Amino acid sequence: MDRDFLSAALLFFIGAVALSQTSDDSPRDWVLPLLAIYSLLAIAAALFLCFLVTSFVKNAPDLIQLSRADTPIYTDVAVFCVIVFCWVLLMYGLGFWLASFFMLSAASVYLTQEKTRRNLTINVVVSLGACVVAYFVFLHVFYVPLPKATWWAGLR
Amino acid sequence: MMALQPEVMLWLVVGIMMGMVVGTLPGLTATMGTALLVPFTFALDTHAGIAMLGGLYVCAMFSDAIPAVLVNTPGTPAAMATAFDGHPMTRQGRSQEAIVAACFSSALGTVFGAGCYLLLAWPMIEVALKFGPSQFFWLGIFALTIVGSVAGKSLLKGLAGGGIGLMISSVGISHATELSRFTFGIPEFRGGFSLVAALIGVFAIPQILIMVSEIRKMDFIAEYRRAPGVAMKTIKEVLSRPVHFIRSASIGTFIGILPGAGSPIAALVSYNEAKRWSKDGKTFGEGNVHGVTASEIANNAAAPASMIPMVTLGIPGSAPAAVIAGALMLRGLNPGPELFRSDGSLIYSFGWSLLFAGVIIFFLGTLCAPVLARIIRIPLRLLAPIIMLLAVIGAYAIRNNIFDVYFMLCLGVFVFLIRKVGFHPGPIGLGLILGPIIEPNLVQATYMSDASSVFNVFFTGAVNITLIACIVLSIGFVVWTRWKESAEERAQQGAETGVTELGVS
Repeated sequence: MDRDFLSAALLFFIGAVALSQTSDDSPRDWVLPLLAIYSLLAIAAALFLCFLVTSFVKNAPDLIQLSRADTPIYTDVAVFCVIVFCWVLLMYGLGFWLASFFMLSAASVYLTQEKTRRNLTINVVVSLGACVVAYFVFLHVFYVPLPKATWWAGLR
Repeated sequence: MMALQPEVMLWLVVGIMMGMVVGTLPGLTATMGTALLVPFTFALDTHAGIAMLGGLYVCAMFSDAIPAVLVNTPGTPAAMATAFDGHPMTRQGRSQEAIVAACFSSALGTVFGAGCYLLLAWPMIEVALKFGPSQFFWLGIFALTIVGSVAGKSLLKGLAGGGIGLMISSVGISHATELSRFTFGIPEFRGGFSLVAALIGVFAIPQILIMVSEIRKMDFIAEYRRAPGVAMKTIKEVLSRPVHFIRSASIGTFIGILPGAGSPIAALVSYNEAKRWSKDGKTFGEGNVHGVTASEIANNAAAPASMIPMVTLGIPGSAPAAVIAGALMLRGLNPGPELFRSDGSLIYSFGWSLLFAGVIIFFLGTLCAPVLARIIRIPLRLLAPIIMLLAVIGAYAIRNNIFDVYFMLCLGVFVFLIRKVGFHPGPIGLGLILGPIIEPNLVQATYMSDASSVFNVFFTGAVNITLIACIVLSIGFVVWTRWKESAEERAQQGAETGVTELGVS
């Protein structure tokens, strides 16, 4: 896929969705958002034109290169994102600190290339240390009321 | 002099240490830090308490550069421009140099701003009072022209990024009639998005995902190189450009005085001007040390300068200045001309404390730089999850709202993906920062135009005309530079093709 074509499609989509949310009720409220939306649509048109020129006139499209060799990289990113989203969902059940310890341990263990006993121990110890330090700094110095456990009061 | 009393100096140093922590942790802002510290100052003498708050504020303006340099995550919005060159320096193994440059230039900026506070408060405030809504609107537009500098390869995609940032900043209740905008029927959207959460989403989350994607190729962000003598070399480099220093510090001081503009806009405008006037402007964004210094000098000069309207007129120039004004009022001291007359020694002692804070920041930062630079020696497999933990706490801490965390993560993944098609996070961050400055002033100015005309409000008066001229020149410069660069590129390609053809024939 061509980069300019994808960018134009994305901007058209964002512009169209945003435009559907506007109204004529209070022009002052919409001056800046409308300015931004029309700018996005105009830029989308310009990028589409760039795509046509580079692909069909100059015959030099700006393609996104995706190879099979990159699959493990995208898998790493996807798995890391899943761990993080699970953590964010779990923090209301398990409480912030326990969920954070699991996230830090799980993510660091997954990302470790050489899964030796030493590396895995370091991961767990560092995760625990990071949670303890963050607990004292944010809860007892800055008084940030982070989510508490709802599944079991003892975890609070 | 009260500022030299041991008690005042001691609490100033305590404030500076607290500022170091607040600035370094993404999501904790100088405003939050000063607000948290106010109750502790009641037990202290007024001079010591106010010095501690001032010390925290100016030090947070330095230490926010540390995460910006090391992991491309601005500690506060004011360090966004620092990350443009600071992080590429880290990638080149020059993290210690970047931190020393940030530290020394922050110290210089603080001393300059505090000097202006002590010497030029009244003449400067007369110019600042000429700024109304239309002037602030034009100032915001002028800052927006920096898109040309941070757009990356494609100016069009840079402009689109700025537009996306402006749109995100306009989600929620409007400034004019409290109308809900872009809420899609979701009640949580009505409160708008937290700027800090959005900035963490734009800068920190994509950076974490980049670290994860590079984990199979490298164990660390960059190779750590011990650099003996780098501190002196960097200081000499910063001092070798006095014009650059005076320009950045003047921009920072002037913008700092303007109520509501603050350190982020000062740093952005200063960075843009440094790039425009520098002989090696082309290398800005690729690890030019003067990109770091331009941003840091300005955002630190803006911090003491934002106290000038607070002590002279009772109008705080920034949110932390407003907290400090509140701390004074809680002691029965009303900031403004009356305080200047009745308790002038407090005003001047505070100015001197800010000046000393600059000197202390320099020594503290230079001492800590070799230690801080070693953060990049933490393996990526540990660093990426820990930064994620700090990013989530930072996004949550601003409003204690888990919705901000969801938004930050979604925005971060979105920015990570659109980087692949050539968008750059810089312009999106710029739109996010400038939206809340441009829009309320635009709306206020249009209300004013009801009484006269749009032309009278926006296009008359010396300040408006000067700012419009600056905008036109800035855009013209960006277009000319881009045109010149593409012409040079074409000529180079032509020459290479010519050489190849000759070689073949």
